[in-house]
Amino acid sequence: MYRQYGYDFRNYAYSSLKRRIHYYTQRLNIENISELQGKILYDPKLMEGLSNVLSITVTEMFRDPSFFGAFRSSVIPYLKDVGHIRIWHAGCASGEEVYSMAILLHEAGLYEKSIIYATDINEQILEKAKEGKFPLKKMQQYTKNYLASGGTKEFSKYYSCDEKFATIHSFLKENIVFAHHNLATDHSFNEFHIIICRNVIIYFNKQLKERVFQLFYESLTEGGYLGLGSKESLIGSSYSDKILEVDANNKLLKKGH
Amino acid sequence: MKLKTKLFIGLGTVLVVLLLISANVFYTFNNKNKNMNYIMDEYFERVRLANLLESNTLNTARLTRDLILMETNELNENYLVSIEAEKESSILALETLSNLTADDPKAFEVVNELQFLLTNYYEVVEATVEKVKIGNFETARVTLLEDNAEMRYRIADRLDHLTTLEEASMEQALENSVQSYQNTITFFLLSAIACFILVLSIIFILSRSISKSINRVRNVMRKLPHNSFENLPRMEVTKDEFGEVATAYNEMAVALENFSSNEKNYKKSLEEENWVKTKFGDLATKIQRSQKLEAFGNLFLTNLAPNVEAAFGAFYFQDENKKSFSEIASYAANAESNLGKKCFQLGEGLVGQCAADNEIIVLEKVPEGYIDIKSGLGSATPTSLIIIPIEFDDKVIGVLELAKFSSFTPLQRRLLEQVCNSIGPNLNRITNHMEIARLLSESQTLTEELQTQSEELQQQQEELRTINEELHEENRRTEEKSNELEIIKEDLEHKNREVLLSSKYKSEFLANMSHELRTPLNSMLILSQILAENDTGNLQKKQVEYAQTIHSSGKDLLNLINDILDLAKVESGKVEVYPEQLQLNDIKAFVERQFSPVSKYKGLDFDIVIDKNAPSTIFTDDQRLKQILKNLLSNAFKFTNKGSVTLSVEPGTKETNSKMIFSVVDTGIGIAKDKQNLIFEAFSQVDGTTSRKFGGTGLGLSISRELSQLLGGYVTVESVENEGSTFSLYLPDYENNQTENASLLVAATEEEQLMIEEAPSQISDDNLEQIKDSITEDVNEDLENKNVLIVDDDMRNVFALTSALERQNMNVIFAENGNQAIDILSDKNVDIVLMDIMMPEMDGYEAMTKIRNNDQLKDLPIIALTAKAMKHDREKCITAGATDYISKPVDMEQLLSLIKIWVQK
Repeated sequence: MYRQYGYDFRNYAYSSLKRRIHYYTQRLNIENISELQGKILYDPKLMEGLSNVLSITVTEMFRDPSFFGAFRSSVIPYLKDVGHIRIWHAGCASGEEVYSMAILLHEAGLYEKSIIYATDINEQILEKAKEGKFPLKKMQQYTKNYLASGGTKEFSKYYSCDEKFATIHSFLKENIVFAHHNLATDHSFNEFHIIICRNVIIYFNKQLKERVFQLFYESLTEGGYLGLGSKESLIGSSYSDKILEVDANNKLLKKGH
Repeated sequence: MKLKTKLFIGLGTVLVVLLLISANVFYTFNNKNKNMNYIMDEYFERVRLANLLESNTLNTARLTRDLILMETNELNENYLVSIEAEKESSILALETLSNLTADDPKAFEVVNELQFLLTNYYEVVEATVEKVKIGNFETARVTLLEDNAEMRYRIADRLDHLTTLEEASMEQALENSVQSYQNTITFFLLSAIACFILVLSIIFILSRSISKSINRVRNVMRKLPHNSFENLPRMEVTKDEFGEVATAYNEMAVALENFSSNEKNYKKSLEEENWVKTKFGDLATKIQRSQKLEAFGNLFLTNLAPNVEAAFGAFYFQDENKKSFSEIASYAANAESNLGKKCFQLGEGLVGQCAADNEIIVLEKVPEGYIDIKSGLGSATPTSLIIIPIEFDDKVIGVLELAKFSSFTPLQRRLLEQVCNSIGPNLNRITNHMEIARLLSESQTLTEELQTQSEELQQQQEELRTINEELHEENRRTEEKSNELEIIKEDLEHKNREVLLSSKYKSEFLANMSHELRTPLNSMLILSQILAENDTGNLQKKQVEYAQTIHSSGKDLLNLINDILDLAKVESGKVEVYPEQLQLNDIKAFVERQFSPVSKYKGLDFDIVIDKNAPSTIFTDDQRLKQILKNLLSNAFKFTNKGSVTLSVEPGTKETNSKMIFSVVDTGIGIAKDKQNLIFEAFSQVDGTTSRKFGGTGLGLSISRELSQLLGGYVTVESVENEGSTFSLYLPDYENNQTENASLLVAATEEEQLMIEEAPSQISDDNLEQIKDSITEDVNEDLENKNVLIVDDDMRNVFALTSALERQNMNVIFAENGNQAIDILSDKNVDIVLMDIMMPEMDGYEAMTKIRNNDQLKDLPIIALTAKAMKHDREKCITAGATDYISKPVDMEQLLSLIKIWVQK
């Protein structure tokens, strides 16, 4: 697959890979993996399908509200002194957290001078993320998350609804750049004050994790912050003493001292 | 000779000499004294006696002359006596003298001459005295003058001679005495000198002898070395006191030498101990921070081997199976040589044996070629080998092997043993640490794995939902297609198509019409109610009654419209079923709450009888079931003026295809047999006049029937006119079977069609167009028919909100304050609440808190209407139980978005 299409899933977490491929074969009513392999090599659509299956896009606005609460209280003050803020959302999926970040910055009056690079491996989901349309039902949870994260403005100011979807207002999309980026193969493309990469590296094996941490380390400005998912950590990585936890519960880390 | 003896002899001699001299002097002086005394006594006595004899002689001569001179015959007796006494005294003196001079022949001769003379003298005296006595004075004078005088001269001469003799003797004696004194002095001086010389020589001899001994001791002691107590010089043991000192000294020297050698030994062992400790300490510090076994092994070997001059080293640690030992580090090992075997089973080879026995193995004289130790310049075989076990908790966990070119010294062995004895815990710590690190990383992996699984699951759920929705869409499309097919069919069968179209339009018209009607009606109701309340008190009683009438009429109208709407909705298939597991008790409570007041008001008995075999739950749509029961019971109460109304619940049977049977039994007017079928038809009542008498729309039963069919059940009636009726609802568990539902719906539609056919249709084409437009207009299904409760005391707000929301086809209910809102919520189904905060009586916070206290209203969406930019108020709202908030003045679009989100179920 790597040779044919350039997709590199070789360093993804084995068990997850196994489950997803099993799931995909089931969905396609294919007997075994060899058969799937043959089909995929000759059918780019199946490859895309597998790629979509392999990229898990579960996300929420203000997911783990306490993370965003901590971000508000710990990181926003740091950003106030930064001239032009660059933020990288690696593995942004459908963009919920990106828009959450935009809202945070907007409320802190920092959005004007910020630029958020939101990247994902999955092009399809990136298209979705650009739209910023979320199902109405989900907005209930998002509102709750917003309030739990310490939001004090009207969350309803940031979206408008049609029959099925709530669409994020376009003023929140202005400073967001959506782009394709593969953490497994691509390199750093800028230096950032903040890197958010939540619940992405859990799908990677140790080797790839190490690569990603190196990438982040090189891409973070000195004193910059790294936000990880609630179950992720740098434990066991050689970067655990270079990027230090400042809020262990909310997985906020900082490069340097 | 002993010093004591020497001293005794020497000093004793001096003492004896002194005593001799003293005795001599004493003797000499004593002699002298005796001589002097002799001289004094002897010679003076002799002289005195001589002098006495002279005086006696003179005295006798004087007395004799006196006698003669007196010339009297009468002799004086006294003179005679005196002459006699003189004579006597002289004789005594002579005798004494004679005694005294017996040893002096010259004096003795003189004394003899004197004796003779004196005797002659006294014979003359006597002869004279005799002559005197005879008176012959002259003869006497002649005798006296002749004989006597001569005699006296001779005596005197002799006496002088005697005195001279004596004086000469005395001088001689004196001279002797002086001579003897001189001799004594000379002798004394001589003996003093002799004595002095003697004492000096004794002192000299003594001191020489003592100092000789002391010098001997001193010389030996001088030879004592300054900084060492080894090989101390010994002293010759003599027989004197210095011999004892020498013995004591020699003993001391021995003790000192012993002590010194002990101390030296001790110092040496201390140094060795120190060396071992220092090396061990260094090593311990260096290996302390190792976290990994291999790093530890390497560090351990590279630090230990040079200290024991080992040229080769290997470190083995037990494998996980605890039966074999693998090399984890080596020192000076050479890759190309086969230095060291990598793994040993327990008991295999010396390493394995050492591990098995937990004993140190030492090999001396290792044969040539056993191990080659190489350097750039050459290679050689070491001569000795040591293999040491490392234990922890009495179990061997590692083995150390070292080789070197010379034997391991005891000291080096000690170091090795000590080190190996004490690194066990270190090794154990490291393995534990590695284990912990491994577990930590494992747990991290597991945590992440869990997260991936959960996300994958979410994703899958999401996908399933999407697929489901797609299926629904598909279904819908299929339905549409079948509809289209039908339309084509209808096209073919023109008449049928017309009928169907008109039926569809009618339902939709009805539905929309009711809404159109309801919107102004709501305003009317609210305003008439406000009027009727006459808060300002400016209306007359009559006017208030009018307002009340308007309100109650409006309400009737609203009910009618609601019913029509319901029916139309059911008939047009727009009602969806939301089945859930319902508790019979909840239903019972609902019914009681709803109808107890009515029964009291009408004075009827109202019983709810639940069969003990009745199931406690049923799976169906809560709202619809309640609606059916409400209709049935309302009817029963409506048509019963006296007696009772009973709701009984019984378990369903297979024959009746039901799970539960709800029966409403009344003692009302009843229904005639022939009209029992008619009553379920829409817009029918038993007779046309009932409406006037009992009120109501007559749609209740129709709706109930439709709804029951929607839920998969049915309604039957048994009635005897004037005695009462029994309406029974047979209800199964709702089966989410689309086809069945579809068929039911189709059935319903068919019946509806029939009914519509009979019903007069007055819909013009123009109207139809209008209706079509209104349908295509932004009709939001999400908001349609949702019940919104506005709680606000400001009528302008209520009005604005009401009109806007009713435009979205929402049902608006209104409450003026928190208390009213709570009352309304307790008996009306409300989908969402818009809650103003500032209100009289009970404000929004309190109201929300109270609402949230009711378990059934826990999830009811409440949107708080807050003043703008009041951050604190917003927090307070959320704490009080608001689901979300929006600030006033309300942006309608924002509010609608918000409501859309929160009415999602």
